[in-house]
Amino acid sequence: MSVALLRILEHIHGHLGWLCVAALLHPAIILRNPKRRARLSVSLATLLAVVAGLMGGTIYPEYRIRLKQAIFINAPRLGWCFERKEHLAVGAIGFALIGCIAHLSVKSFEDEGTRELLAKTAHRAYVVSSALALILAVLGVAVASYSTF
Amino acid sequence: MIHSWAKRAVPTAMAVILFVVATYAVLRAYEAVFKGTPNPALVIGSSKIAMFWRLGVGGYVAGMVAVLVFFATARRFDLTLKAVALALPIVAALITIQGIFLP
Repeated sequence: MSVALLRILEHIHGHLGWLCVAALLHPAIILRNPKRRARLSVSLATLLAVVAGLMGGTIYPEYRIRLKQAIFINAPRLGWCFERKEHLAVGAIGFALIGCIAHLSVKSFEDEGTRELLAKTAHRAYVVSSALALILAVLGVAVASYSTF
Repeated sequence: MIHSWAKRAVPTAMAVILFVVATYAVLRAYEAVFKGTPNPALVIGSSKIAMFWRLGVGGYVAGMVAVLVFFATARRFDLTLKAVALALPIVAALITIQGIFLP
């Protein structure tokens, strides 16, 4: 992969990451009400998180080869920040997917107790996902402002 | 109440993702605490990308758990869904603590 392409992907990934923070915060706020339906918001926020994650996964092998060692030599704290970011990203995307599944399936159940439990689970999942997304976006900016492709 | 396969797939899918995340966190925490991580400043890296490897192992474990959860939903759907909902904050704490304190 050329450096120019990596740089473009990295920038799109970074911007998508911050868009994700805003997008995931939306269902985290509006799903406080278990009766509220927000299928489009939930679907788009989750899609955004998955796309940002896939882009991160695409450039990650090149990061390991080209940048990781230099960052750890010159600024090990930032290197560990990046490691933290990758772990928290797994959680952020995972919980966004869980929230999406829970919210989109609420309507297919007739039992009120099940519907309420799924709605609450969706809300909790988005709260966790948006919190993790915010932390990892901040960590991402910290690392990217120090070293890029 | 007997639920359709599609409805039983809901807690199963949620459990699968939870187990991928939980397995990832446990594997990394185990590596950090018991195996020790080579200093990234000294080691360029191996051909094995640890993050993808952990996700792969997580997917394998979650695949096995999926079968169990799917069968559990046939017998006690409500209880299985409650267990999955209860596991959510536990796994959230697991990945957050591991991510922040054991990178």
